[in-house]
Formats: sequence, structure tokens, C-alpha cells
Amino acid sequence: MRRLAVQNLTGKPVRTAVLTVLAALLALAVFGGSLIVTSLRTGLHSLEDRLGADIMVVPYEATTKTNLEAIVLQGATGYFYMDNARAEKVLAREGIGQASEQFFLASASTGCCSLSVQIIGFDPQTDFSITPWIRRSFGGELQKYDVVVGNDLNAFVGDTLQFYGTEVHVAAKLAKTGTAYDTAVFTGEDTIKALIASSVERGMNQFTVDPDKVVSCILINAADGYTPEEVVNDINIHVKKVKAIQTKEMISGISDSLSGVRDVIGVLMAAVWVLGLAILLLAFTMSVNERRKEFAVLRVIGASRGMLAGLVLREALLTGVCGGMLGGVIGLAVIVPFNRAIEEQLGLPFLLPGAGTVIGYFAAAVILTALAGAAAAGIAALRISRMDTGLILRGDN
Amino acid sequence: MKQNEKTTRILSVILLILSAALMLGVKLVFHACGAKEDGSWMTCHWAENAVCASGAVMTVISVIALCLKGRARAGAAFSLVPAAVVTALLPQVCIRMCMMNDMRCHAMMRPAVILLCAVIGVLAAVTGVMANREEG
Repeated sequence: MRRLAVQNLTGKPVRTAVLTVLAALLALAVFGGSLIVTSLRTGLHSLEDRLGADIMVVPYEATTKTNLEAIVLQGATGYFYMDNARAEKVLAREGIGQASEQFFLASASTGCCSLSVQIIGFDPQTDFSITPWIRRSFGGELQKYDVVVGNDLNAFVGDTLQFYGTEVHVAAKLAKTGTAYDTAVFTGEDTIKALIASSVERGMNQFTVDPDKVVSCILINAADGYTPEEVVNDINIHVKKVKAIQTKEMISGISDSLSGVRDVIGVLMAAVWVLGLAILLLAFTMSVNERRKEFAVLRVIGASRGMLAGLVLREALLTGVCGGMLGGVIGLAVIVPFNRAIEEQLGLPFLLPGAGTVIGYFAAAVILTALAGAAAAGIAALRISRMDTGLILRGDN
Repeated sequence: MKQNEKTTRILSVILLILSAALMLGVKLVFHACGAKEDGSWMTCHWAENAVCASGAVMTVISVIALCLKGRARAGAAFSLVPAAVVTALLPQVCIRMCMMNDMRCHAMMRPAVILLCAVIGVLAAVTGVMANREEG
């Protein structure tokens, strides 16, 4: 009987191919949908981790002239500066636990490419948001003209990059985050000040600032006994020409988009499954109806009702497993290599989960598809077990 | 044996379609990044050209495989395997591409070239093995 199931499937290649493609479609829907939704969720969590501070204080112009969220969250290159006097006023407020200044600079196009790179400078003495993350990839101290590159930058440890005519050395490459930080360059305060000065000297940027007298933003963690809301309100009320923002508010837009995308994918997955299951049920019922005489002959030569039902179920399981694996492989071949293109299209943080999770989803999709096929065939198998062999062989319905 | 020959002929047609898709697709569909503002090209453009040229060679080999029979077809099909491997390695490994991995050459061209070359390589190997069993 085991061989008979395989022979039945290979003997009717077109029918088998159609059922396998249907099963593949179901598996692709569940595997692809789950993988995309999980990657988006992982990307958002990664972004939350990387922001690493309760509050971000930027010059007020940054919120009006430039798209702050695009720069901070989506990797758009840009810069804004406030003078040290304003920064000192912010730092003098109550309720500030940890505080660290950052400097933004958008590079001119690098040697190889037409696109510019966002350079983020931080003060290693006070930094609490970037250093813990860099520590995972780089144990040493960043020297002057050392940079740490995001994972999506095509530069490697030991390479030399040139920004505004100044050569910098790649000291480390960060792990992938699925966020805008993957295409950024991080460096110490000394280096970025040298780069800002170099860009001003060469007239390659539209601003004229003294890098020793400005900062781009201040990252703040609220002190014990204070909530981030209290500190944000205090800064916004008492310090002029700056804007304090809770980082959670910044990513709420992304969170809303993610929820929308998840709903759309969920509806699509459900639609594909309802349609696929209906077609599978129809296909198995039609197939069993077509093969009534074949089953009747098997009954006559001694096959029990249970054996016939088992045969149909075995065929369905084989089709489901093969189709499920095909769908899973197609899903892998599309989503894994093209994940950056998907991220680009969705415009949301996108980080593929670990290999274990991907394998788990793959296995779940195959099992679910095989079970769905078996369930659809089960109804057909029930019909076989009830059929009257004598009537069928006589040609009566 | 007749059935085997029919199968290898169908596989040869698929190989021809895929090789032509590689040659044309890399220029028209999953092409590399565009020119810089000053009109000069980034390095990925040269990788695109190299893949297109390699795809043209693979298309010609596929036509030869389609026209031949038996072991001659097997030989032509087997020669596509290293050609596919080398073509897959052209972007980034042989010719380094752009700075950021979210740029078009990394996000679209490279994965599409690798995927097509992987399919061509596997199908060419299968065609070669099957054609090797044919008579003549």
C-alpha cells in the first residue's frame, strides 16, 4: 500500500503537480507571511534597543526644517546643530540621570558611490546608547580617525575610507540591526569634529559652524524619581530653541505602520488559506470520485475500507509534504536574499530572525500544509469508506 | 531513452530561457545602481556588464546544448555549471560593489543573479547527468 500511494502520484503527474503547487502556495503564504511579520517585529525591537535613551533633545530648527524621524529612524542623511550654550542649559535642568551629546554629519558621496553616508559622532566618556552596542563587536578604544561601520556598509575592518578628503580607518563592523543604523558610520567626538572642520574648510557643506562649539543632539535618561515625561516637559518649558522628544513617541509611527502591515498580511494569509483549502477539498473530492472504480477494484481484491482511506490520506500527506517544502524553499529563496529590497519597499525596520526561528517556521509551514492536505483528503477518505463496491462496479451511482 | 531525450530537451529549453533572462534581466529588470550625478559610473555598473557578458556566453552554450544530443549535450550542459558559479561570484566577490548594502546593486542585482545562477547550475547538472545516459 505504501508503494501504491507513490505509484498513484507518479502515475498521474499532472494531477499530482496541481495538488503540489496548491500545497506550495499554502506553505508559501504561511511561511512568507510569518517570516515577514516576525522580521518587522524584530526590526522594531532592534530599533527600540538601539535608540537606547528615554529622551532626545534637538535644536528646534531640526523639527521644522528637516524631517527628524527620517534622519534618526530611517537613515536619511542630514545634520542639525545647536550651540553649546543651549546644550548646557538643557544639561542644567533637574531630573537628568545620564546625558550624552551626539554629532551628526552627512558625508559627501564616498569614493565609490553617489550616495552619502550618515556619520554619527559620540563622546565615548559619557555615551550610554551606542557604546554598549559597539562593545559587542569591538572591545578596544576608538582612536582618532577610527570609525565603526554599520553592517550594511560595504567596508570591512582594516579598510580605509575617505570623507571630505580625510582618511579614516574602519576599526569594527557592527552586527546587523535591521534599522537605519546599519548604513551609518560611528566615530568618536575628536574624529567627527575633524571631519566637520574638514567639510567646512573645503566648502562642501552648506553650513559654517565651529565644531568645538556645537552639538547635534543630547540623549538623556531620566534620573531615578523622575519620569521621562516630566523631564521632557521641563526642558520644553524652560529651555528655548530646543525640542525634547520622548524616543518612544518617535517610534510610535513605525509601530502603527507595523501594525497595519501585520493586519494586511494576516488578511492575505487567511484569504489564501481559505481559497487553498477549498480548492484542495474540491480537488481531492473530484479525484476520489474519478477513481471510484479503481477503489472498488481494490476492495474486491481484498483491501479493507480502512486501507483505502489510508491510501488517500497517504497520498495527501505526501503531496502536502512535497508541496510544503517547495513553498518553503520558494519563500526562503525570495525573502532571505531580497530582504533589503523588501525593507526598502516597506520603509520599515526589517531584521530577519535567527536561523533557528527560520527553520522552525519552515518546519511549521510544512507540517501545517501536510495536515491541511490530510484534513481535506480525510473528507474524501470518509466517502470512500462508505461507498458500495457492488453498485460502483455495476456502473450504478 | 526517447523519454529521457525529451526531458533533457525540455531542460535545455529552460536553461536557454534562464540564461537569456540573466543576460537581459541584469540590464533591464534587476540592474545595478544608476550613474552618479557627474555622469560617471559606480563599480557595480561594471559588475552588471560582466554578468551580462557572462549571461550571453551561457545563452550561447544553452543553444548549443539544445541543438546537440546525448553526451555532446551533456558536455555543453556540464560546462554551464562552472559558468554559473563564476557568474554568481562576479558581483561583490570578483567586482566589489557599492558602499551601502541597501543600494540597488546589493538589494536587487546580486540576489537575483545568485538565485538565477543557482537554478541554472542545478538544472545544468541534472541535464548533464540525464543527457549522459542517452544514446548517441
